[in-house]
Amino acid sequence: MITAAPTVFFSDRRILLFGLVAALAVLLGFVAVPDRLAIGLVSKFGFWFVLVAFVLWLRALGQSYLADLRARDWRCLDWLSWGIVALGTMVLLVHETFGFKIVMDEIMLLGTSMSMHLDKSALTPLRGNDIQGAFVILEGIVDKRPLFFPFLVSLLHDITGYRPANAFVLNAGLTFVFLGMVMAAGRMLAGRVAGWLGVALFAGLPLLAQNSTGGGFELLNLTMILATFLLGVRWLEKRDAAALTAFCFSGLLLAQVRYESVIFLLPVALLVLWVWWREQRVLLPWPVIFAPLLMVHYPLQHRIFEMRESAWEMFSKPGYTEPFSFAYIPNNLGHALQFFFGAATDQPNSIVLSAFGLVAVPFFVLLIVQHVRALADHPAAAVALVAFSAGFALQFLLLMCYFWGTFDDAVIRRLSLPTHLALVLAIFAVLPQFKSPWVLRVVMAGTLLGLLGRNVPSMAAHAYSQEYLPGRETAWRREFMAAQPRPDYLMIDNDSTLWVTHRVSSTPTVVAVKRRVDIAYHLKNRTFSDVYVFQRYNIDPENGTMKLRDGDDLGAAFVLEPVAEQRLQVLTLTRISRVKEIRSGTEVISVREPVGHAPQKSRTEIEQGRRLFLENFMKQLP
Amino acid sequence: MTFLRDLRLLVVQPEARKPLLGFMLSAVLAIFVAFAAVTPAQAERLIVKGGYFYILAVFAAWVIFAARLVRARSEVCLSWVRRPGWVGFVLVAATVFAVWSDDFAHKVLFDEYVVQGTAWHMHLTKEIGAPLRAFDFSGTWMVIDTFLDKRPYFFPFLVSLLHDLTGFRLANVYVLNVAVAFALLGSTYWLVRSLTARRAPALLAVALLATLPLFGQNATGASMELLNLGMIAAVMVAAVLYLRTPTNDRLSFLILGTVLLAQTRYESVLFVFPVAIVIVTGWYRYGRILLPWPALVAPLLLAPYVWHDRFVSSRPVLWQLREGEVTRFAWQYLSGNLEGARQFFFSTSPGQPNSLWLTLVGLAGLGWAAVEAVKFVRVRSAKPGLRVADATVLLLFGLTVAANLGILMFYYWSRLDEPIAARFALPAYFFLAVLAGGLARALDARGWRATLVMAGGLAAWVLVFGATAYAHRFYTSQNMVMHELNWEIEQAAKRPRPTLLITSKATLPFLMEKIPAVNTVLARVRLPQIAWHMKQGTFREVIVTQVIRPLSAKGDAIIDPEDEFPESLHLETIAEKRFGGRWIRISRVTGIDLPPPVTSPAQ
Repeated sequence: MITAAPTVFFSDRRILLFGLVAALAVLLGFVAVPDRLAIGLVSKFGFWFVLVAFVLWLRALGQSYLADLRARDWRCLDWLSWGIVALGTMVLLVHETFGFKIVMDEIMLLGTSMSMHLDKSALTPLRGNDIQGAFVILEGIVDKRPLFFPFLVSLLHDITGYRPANAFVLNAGLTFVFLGMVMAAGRMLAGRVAGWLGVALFAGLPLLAQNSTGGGFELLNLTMILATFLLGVRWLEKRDAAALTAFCFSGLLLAQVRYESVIFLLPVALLVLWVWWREQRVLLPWPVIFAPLLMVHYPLQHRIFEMRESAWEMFSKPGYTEPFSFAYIPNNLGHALQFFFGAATDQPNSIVLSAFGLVAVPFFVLLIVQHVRALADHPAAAVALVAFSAGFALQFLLLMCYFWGTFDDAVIRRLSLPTHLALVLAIFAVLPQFKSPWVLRVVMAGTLLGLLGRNVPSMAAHAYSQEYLPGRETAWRREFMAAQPRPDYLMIDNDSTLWVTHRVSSTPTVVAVKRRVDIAYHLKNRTFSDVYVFQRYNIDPENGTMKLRDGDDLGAAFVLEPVAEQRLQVLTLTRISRVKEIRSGTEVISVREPVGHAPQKSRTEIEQGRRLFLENFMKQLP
Repeated sequence: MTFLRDLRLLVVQPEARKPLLGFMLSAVLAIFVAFAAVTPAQAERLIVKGGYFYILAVFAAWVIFAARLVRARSEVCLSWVRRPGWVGFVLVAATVFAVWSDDFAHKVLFDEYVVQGTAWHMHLTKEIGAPLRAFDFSGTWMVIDTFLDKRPYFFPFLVSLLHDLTGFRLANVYVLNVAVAFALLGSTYWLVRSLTARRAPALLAVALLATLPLFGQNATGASMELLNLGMIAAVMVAAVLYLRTPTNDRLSFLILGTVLLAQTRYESVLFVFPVAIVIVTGWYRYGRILLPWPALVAPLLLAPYVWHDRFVSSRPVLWQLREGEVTRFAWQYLSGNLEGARQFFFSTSPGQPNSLWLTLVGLAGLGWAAVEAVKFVRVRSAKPGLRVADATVLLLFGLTVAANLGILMFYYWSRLDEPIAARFALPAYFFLAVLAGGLARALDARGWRATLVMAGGLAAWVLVFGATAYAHRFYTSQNMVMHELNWEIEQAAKRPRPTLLITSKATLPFLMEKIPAVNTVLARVRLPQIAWHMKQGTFREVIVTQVIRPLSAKGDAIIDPEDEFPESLHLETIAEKRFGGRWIRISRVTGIDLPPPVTSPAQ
């Protein structure tokens, strides 16, 4: 496994094999597979790729840590520190309401986890219906979001049964894991109390609380970045096959959490090469050699951005033509400052974290420069910090070049979480440079004061989330679902995936308009207990007239009767109406025909009628 | 021939004459009592009045002999209870997995509710019968009409015991089935461990069985299938114990277990034949004839089974034949049933509760067992040892399970790929799991690491096929009648009480929820009585459930002919819901027009 002679560094057969595997992966991922086939392959095999990578990662973690765990004296465990982690987790989880905060990201992820659970395919359902007593997904698309988060949620579904709330369960669990790792990183870089400081800093970050109680992948992203950093330190210390495999696969899985997290493969590669160079030998276990093949689905899935222009969501920000440009940096930096230091009512930020972080950054840069000059003389943690600071910097730069990289935007705020992690790591790195213990004490006191005096009230009020109407509408729709005795109705809503993931039959409004006759058929035949439509009205402040949001209008053919409405934001009215009847011109085509009495037919003929009806019923499903 | 000669020598021994004579007298008496002494109607009354005490006595005797066996090997048993180790953990985990893989629910609707009803009636009256009509009289829920069901009553008896001990609740049946699932997995482990003398193949057999969706479906259901399987396994364990060291206690435990097994499912009486051969083989091995008192009375203990069978045969309505069918067993059903069996055992669809991997490794095991059986028969007398007992039992019971499956292929409702009939495959799957364990050990002995490969294959099957099946649970969730019934009960429970419900479904599910219910057929002829009660205010409301069916692709819905009422009954629709390709309508009776009383011209 280890090649001793430095002269054969690049002639090592394993290196050659790794190169070939990587070339094959590039060929498969970028060249050989046409777009449409690529998406089909991702939907069919994406789950299995992630599963294999995940199992190999767990195996490597077991190999690397089991001996340590067995040797550990559990009576000597730092219960106080773990108590602080638990307390921090509690603070983050109790103030915000569990729910889907970012629409449609979180719903799409949930949808993918649903198909992964039901069919082991990576599809987000668009249409689904209860046909014969079981809810069946009729149509879906491959989503652009990477697969690791929905994969983990699907595992929870597999174990505990399908329920949308499993996404919250996972994020709540990850919150504890993440804070535990923050404590470990703080202790490693600046001592035990610094670990507590890190927990306190994050426990007081409303943005983290918002994501801990949401259904998105941000917390997993944060957890995987920190896990990869810690595993990088372990690799630098242990320099064995198990540590390397665990580190590489952590990076590989991290790259499959958020799109831009693929950047962190750079520090992973840097640290691997650093150890090889320092050791003058190549260490390449078999799982790592074949790891590039386990990433093939990532570029294949990325083809969605080429196939669907809408995937970049450029339409969300009219006036922008390029998704990435250096020209966006000044504007985005301004928004970032507004986010980090905005008022508690406007932004889910932590002034304390932002301030201490911003102060620490220049010192941290100096420290990094100092480390780079004599990297070999520094401990493993410092070397890993250097490599990962490059990753953090690149990630921040990429976001600042993004057309929608405005951190103070309700949808974009969450992208600042890795930057928050970088700030905390910078504080950890800088703190030991101050000899006086008072510095740490002052920082700790300021953090606790900020936590209790500003951040907890901010989380409790969560005024910052009130402006995000789609999130509130999602919560309102979930309340509506919970109030129904059973999910046997059809909901017409452009966000149909939300309903389908809650096992309610649903179809987008645009489709319903086109399939008016089919919906009339189902009304006529009492397929659903009711047919509802979800719509939003925008109110003109001048004259108070209400105008339907674009895409929400069913047209005059649908006769509606309001059943629930709520003013979730000023100048909007959100309404759910029942479809009373459907017309074609002046004729009502959805009238329920009276139930007749049995003609002279045998049971076989009657059964044949039922079969014909079911076949037609399937064809007419909206 | 040596065997027969030795056996003849045993029979003519002077000390064997008396017991054998007693047994023959008992057999003759049993045949007379079972077939000639009583008419089917008398048999019905005997079962209704005395069946509970008969099954109680047999069960009590079985438990006593089981306790004696445990006491005789108390050290072994206690050490296992105190330190179950990894095996105990795996057995608990396997049971938990099976329970996790499906929802607790009534899966085979009429069967399971009849069993529940019989258990409830046994609990209340110690008589055997399923309620047909029940009403609330001055605050007491009283059954006023019952019928004797065709199903054997050992399972309802056990459920009624649970009711007696813990109070009546529908969920007791699930508690029993989960407990039986654990015991069955334990017995499977014991049998394969005993056969192979290795732990790993035994654990593999347990895993193969526990991951079978059909197993989980029945472990969380309310039917007698798992008890039947559990009793087959228990009788096999008893047979192995007896063959290893034939004693009176072991023989008694075996015989009483066989009687109970015969009272678990109709066709399980077949196991009387392999047990008889096992008993005689034991005599041969021991060199003397053992005939303890349970053996002497065994023929008489089977008489109630014959009574029950004669009663069922005399009532074609209990056969539940479908339209156009006139007989329960016929050649005409064979080809369809064979096709159904093939589709079931080899299906990769999540719609079937099968396990393709268990089918494949089990069939490979069957091939191995066939070869071993030929070898075993050839060298049987040469060197009898512990494994001989296991192999004999496995061979005899395996042939019986095959015969059972073979007979089922001629039964009118045995397409295994139909949701209701899939459960009949459980004994076959149990055997395939045992055989797979045996094969794994045989190949391990050749250094092939077959147990590991089979376990790996099982893990792959669970991931690729099993996980999808467990996630969808189509085989349970697509039971539309279950959904209909749950909805009807929910709607009826919402109405002001007391409400009388008229339904074309079985009344039992409603009666179990203390909702007075009458059958549509009966209601049609008793409209004047219903009208009288409406007038008297006996019921706050009378509601009717009807099935509405489409007649064409467009819909053109009609009321199912079986649910039609005369026009004199006035209905007002209160709820309607679609279930698959039909609807259920619930209506309130607003009035009943009665014909004017007939008066004589003189008046």
